[in-house]
Amino acid sequence: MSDGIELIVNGQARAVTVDPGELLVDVLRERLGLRGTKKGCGTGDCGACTVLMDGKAVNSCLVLAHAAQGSDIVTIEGLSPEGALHPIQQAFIEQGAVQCGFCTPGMVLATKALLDENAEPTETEMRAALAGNICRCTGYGRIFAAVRALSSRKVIG
Amino acid sequence: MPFEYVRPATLAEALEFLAEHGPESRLLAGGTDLILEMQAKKASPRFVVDIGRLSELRGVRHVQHGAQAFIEVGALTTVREVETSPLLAEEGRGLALAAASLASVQVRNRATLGGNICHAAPSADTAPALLVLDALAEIAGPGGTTLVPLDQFFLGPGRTLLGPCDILLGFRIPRPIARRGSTYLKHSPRRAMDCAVVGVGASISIVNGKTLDVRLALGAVAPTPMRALRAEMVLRQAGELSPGALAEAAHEAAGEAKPIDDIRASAWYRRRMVEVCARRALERAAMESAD
Repeated sequence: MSDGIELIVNGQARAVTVDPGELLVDVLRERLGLRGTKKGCGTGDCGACTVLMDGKAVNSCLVLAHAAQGSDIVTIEGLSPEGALHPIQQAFIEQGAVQCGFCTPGMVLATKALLDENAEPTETEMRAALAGNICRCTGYGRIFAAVRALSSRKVIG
Repeated sequence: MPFEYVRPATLAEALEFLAEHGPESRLLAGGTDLILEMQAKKASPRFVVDIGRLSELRGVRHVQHGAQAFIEVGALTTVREVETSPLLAEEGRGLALAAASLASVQVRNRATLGGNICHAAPSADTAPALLVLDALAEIAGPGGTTLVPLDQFFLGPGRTLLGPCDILLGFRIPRPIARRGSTYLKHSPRRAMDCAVVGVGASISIVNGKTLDVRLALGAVAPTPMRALRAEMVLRQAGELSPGALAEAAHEAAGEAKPIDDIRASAWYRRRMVEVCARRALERAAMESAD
């Protein structure tokens, strides 16, 4: 028994038909074709499905589509609407923070959520903000370097 | 997961719906527990009742009920809001610390304080923190509204005294007259994204060097979050936080715990860690109260 919901996705009003049990991650990937958001675990443990929902980083695999009715969603695609890279994406590339790239959309959005709220995170604040995003490739060192490069504080060490 | 999604516009509507369909319903708050339960087929309700946006059940504020002043925390306050609340940073730091230790930012932005308590995992981080603040749970149901001390709320792993037609409205934390320090200490293999192997909440009020009042609560080492009442008594009788009194209280707490062997830790290890963590939590709470 399907129903309609309305969301704002990357600044555009979208209307989609969803099943009651459908999750936001599947609405984004399957109904809207926005496959930048990844499915890594389906249990809210890896952060690959991270999107911004009303400005806050959430695991889209744990949000029912219906519960997102009326919300303002930003996916990784929303960071570079005209094709030009967002400063966070640029910093990740410059610092070598991307290997297979699977965790990257989630990492970038978690970073955006952090820096939107706190432009000069301490080392501890940065690690806490990214604790919900797992990377199997980089060992996190280059990712943290990218975040530090973006931080106004320009933390060393 | 074939169910019917229902979103009542007000608390009254939600209670009305539950009065009729409670036994076939599950409440959806943040969804970070319920969605997993449904996917694991541990829950298959006919109705999922989304109360997540009832703003009347959200927020941290000072309230007065008669002669007693309280901090009220709505059940639908997100764990992130609890973590970052300026009010709780000042008057309920243990609860803010417990919230900060839960999962990840992404989970905390959706998970709610009420949901964490109602899911009633023995290891629920916010439970020991609320217990040592003498929190009361405000519950609405077909018979009206009741207030229950939180230490009576938990009945077993994953079980609370809530009936199928009830809604937890929020928590009332009595504001003490004396300066009270509180803390939460979480012992787990990783610094994030782990369930507590041992969780300890502690609160202490000290006036002029004398220990006025002590609370100690343990998580993940019994069928439910629990107060360590014998440990509290040791400190109350000692009247001061000498190293000897702290050591004895921590040892008593380890004896009161009823841990089991499970995939995360052995009972033996948990009991040893209760003793270590209880002492550390009491010391930290004492430092907080002296500030």
